[in-house]
Amino acid sequence: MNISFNWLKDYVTIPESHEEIASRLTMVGLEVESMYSTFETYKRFVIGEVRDVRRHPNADRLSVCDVFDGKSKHTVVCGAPNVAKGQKVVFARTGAIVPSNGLEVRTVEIRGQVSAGMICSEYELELGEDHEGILVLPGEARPGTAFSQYYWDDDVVFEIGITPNRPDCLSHIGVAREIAALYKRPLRMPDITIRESGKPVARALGIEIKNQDHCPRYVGRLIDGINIGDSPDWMQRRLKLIGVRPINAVVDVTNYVMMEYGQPLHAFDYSVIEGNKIVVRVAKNNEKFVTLDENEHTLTGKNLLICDTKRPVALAGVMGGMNSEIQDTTTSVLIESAYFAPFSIRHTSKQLGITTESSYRFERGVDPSRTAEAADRAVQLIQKLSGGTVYRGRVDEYPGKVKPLRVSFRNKQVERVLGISIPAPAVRGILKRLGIEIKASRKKGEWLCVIPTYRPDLEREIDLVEEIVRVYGYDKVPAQDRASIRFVDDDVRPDIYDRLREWFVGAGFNEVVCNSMVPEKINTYAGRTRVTVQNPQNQDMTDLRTSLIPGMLQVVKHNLNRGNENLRLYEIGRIFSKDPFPGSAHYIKDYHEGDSIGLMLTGLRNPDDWSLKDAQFDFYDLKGEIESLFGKFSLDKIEYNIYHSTSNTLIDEAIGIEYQGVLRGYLGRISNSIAKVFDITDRVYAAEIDLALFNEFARLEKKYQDVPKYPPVHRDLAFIFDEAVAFGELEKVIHEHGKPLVQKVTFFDVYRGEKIGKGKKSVAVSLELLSVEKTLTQPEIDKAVSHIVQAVENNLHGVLRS
Amino acid sequence: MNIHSVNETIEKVKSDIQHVSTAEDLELFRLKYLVRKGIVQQMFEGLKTAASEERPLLGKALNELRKTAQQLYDDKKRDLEQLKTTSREGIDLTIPGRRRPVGTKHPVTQALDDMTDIFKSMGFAVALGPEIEDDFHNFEALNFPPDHPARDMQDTFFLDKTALLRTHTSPVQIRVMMNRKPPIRHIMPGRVYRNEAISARSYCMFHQLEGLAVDENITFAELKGTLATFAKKFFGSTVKYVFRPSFFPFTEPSAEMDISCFLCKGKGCRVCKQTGWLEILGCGMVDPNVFKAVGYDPEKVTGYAFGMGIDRTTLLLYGIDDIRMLYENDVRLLNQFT
Repeated sequence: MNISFNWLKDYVTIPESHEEIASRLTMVGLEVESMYSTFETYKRFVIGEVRDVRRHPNADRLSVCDVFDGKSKHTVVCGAPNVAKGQKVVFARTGAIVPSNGLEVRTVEIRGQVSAGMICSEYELELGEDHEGILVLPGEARPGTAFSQYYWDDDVVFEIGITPNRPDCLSHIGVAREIAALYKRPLRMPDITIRESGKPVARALGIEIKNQDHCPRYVGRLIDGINIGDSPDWMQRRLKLIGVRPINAVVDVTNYVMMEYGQPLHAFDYSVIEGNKIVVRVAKNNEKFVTLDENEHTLTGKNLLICDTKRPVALAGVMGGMNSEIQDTTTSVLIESAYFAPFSIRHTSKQLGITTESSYRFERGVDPSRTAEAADRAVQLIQKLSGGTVYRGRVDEYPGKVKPLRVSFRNKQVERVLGISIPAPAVRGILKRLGIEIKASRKKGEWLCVIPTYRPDLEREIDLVEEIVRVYGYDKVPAQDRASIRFVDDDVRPDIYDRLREWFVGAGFNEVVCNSMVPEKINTYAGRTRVTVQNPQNQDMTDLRTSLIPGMLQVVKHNLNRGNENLRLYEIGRIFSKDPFPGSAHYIKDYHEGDSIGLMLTGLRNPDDWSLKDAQFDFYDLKGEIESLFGKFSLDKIEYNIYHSTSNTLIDEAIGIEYQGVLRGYLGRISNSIAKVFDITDRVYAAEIDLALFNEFARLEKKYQDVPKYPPVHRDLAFIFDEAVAFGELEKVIHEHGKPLVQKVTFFDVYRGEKIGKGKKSVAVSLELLSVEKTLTQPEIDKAVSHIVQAVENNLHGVLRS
Repeated sequence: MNIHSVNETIEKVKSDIQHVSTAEDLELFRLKYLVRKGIVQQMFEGLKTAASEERPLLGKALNELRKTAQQLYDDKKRDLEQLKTTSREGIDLTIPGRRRPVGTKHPVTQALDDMTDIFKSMGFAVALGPEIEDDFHNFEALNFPPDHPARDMQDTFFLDKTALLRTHTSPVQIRVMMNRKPPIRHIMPGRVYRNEAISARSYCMFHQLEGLAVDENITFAELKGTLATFAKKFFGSTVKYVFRPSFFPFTEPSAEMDISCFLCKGKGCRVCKQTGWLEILGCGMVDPNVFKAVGYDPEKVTGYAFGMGIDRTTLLLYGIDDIRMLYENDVRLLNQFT
């Protein structure tokens, strides 16, 4: 809300500078977000007098003027057709910054003629649209007077961020009332006197409220025989300064009173109101109405309409209708001042997507006690500005009478909530200054507080506690330097997220953070049921990610485009689906979400190692990282199985990560189909594992096992197999049949060649054998090894290579 | 002294330098010959007593001695310097080692971790919650009535009629309170979503850290003390702070906390928009309506809650001027956060 500092002075005597007032308002919750002062904006703009106008010797359309700025004469080249000797104009001295374009006025040469300064148009001063000619001021303007002082009376505009709980401050009187309370000054309300010479209004206007829950109060006043022109300068200036565009005297008055009282008003051309009657009712379903912005709306029974006896004439509290808008030729005006229920206006405004100054105030709550006064004020001003005859009295339908709320209050609550005690007299003082009347209560230690109707936010005791500390000063509440903590014997598991990240940092990965909202086209590859956003911000954010991989690929692409080709990335983040997935949790009907861990490798294995200059990442780099990761968390029962998925097409050449027979992740090479989407041609290896696996099964508590007392023995074996036999099968067989002596099976070579025949391969492994009981003897070792060799032969048809 | 002894000394100098292999040896050489009390200078002294007819020849020889000694010294010194960088076997020891890559945490994670550590040291436990929420947890239980303008403060992404992406971490407060009895002392970090236009200063998704303490004697004074302590630990002990009244539906009284700009020390700069202050968090005393929604008796307990945005603070801390940079994940940015 824009508030003019000078305008406030109509209602309260202001004891301090605008800077001090701004900071005081901020400290009571009316945050002055920015300040705009006319004397800063119009620095070096003064009233000038055109002393002479000559033709420019070298340009037909330009003239050369002598401008007297109160001190000296300046020669200025001017292009305006309307410049003339003797005019009072706005003169920008050199160094002035032109408001409309931010450019500095300098001494320049225009076609051989030096020009030192500028005569300004309305447009350049941001006072209006006219940029054809210069702004000509009345003759009494005195040369040398600062323009800011002459035109704006050196005003300052506060831009105040009014929080939704303070509708009472959406007006100048509201803010003045706050200042009056803070500085203990009286508030001066406008003096309203109206010359009523027409017939009683009740004879000319009927009002019927059909839905009093939507419209508890409706006041109408009539004035006719008016002659609408422009509103006077003083009013236009006030409106312009706070950002309201002047239109005509009647419309300007309704806006002016809204900015003064916070009460939105509507003016109807009364000559088009049928049946001399206003009917306030909700719309029929599918009823159509055209608002004055020429948009047609389709309404429902939840939208309130203002109608005459035949048709709707306004969308209550939101916008007037085309059919009853004030015209320049209008002579008879109905002023509406109403109290519409916040829920009703809010609903219509949301439903139709229209927010106006009017709806903004109604949905927050206007003061139901000043409805009539605001109507009177408007009529007073219209009569003053446009003449006319005012009908006697007003029609005031008030079926839903709003009574001031009574709130019981215990002063001890102040101490309980704030931690400081404020003496009762001080508390009383604050409440009274805020317009709250205090009455005795039957209960001891309790008061009954009567809340003024302009403060709909004060409903409960706690609201009053807030009011008290707000005015008393948040800074007067000490920052307590101790807190008592009660120990809660929770079984708090160490933070798995921290530990995972620790591992990744140690392993040389960069953490990335990607948007959870992704476009549909990259979200289908994981084979999970997508969650879509109903109102996405754009087409790149229609879905919630079903996997971390596509987002990380986007990061890979971004980096590749910038020449960052060697990447080791990880992300820990949430993924979503409409169906359950491993590690997912279910909070909200139809939706499942779970944290996931993504890894991605591409480019050089180790770009900082010059001896491995050309070593590109391959599948085994990724698998090794995954194995180390599981090793760190003692997840030793992980099984790796070939992964064939028809639904998940993110990964080719993939291995599934299984735990207790459940698939918890996968790793492999990014599939061509999704790589194509990102136009990535580099080989990228990726893995994704659900984080719950770590949460559920990671062994974080450490257990010591005796270090073997006896030395291990190593035996290397090579077997010849058919190509189809996988190392994993061999490993399994050896472990199974090598119990209890075989501790470790290490792969060290594979050989293919003529020596062993086509379609065959030789796989070499190293076995580590160990007994916890004794040093193994040669015969024991031989026996174990030959048992293994036999088993390999039986199960896998592998032949020991000698 | 005669010409012969000078020539002998020249030979001695030449053989001595042969035995110099370390910096220490070289220093001994210098002390022996080249300092003021050294052999060369002393022989020059002897020139004064030499027969006048010998002097020209002797002088010439002595100059030769001095030149030779100095030259040998300088050469040797240079050789030794070079040796420092080359091993005896001829390996270039200045070639970089085989470095492993250095891993990083995302700057947002780092800021969040630092904040979390501070609150943990003040006795707060960590709680997490879902990112898909319903109207009840995200709004209603937090005292945002349906059809209330306060809802406009947070532009919401909807999934269906009631399901939405949480607009703040405050629904986790509701979940924590519904799952346990007071006392409660928790922080709740997480990702939140707002349907706001994307610009250098705002993104449709960001991270928050929420805090909640509920017990029998929790007061606004304790809230101020807690957050002031946090601010000093996080932003530095000289930081100044101010609490301003504000409005949030789920707290009453509500406040916003500003801290003195840590870049300009409160003098006013581009980052703090010349005000000298930075808005860092919102807070307040838990509204009785929130307690009622979770089944707590507001006559028995009081509590405070606070919430802060991590991403914007991260930008301020490191002087990154576009929030989108955080989610582009250019490794040249990430690698600066080792």
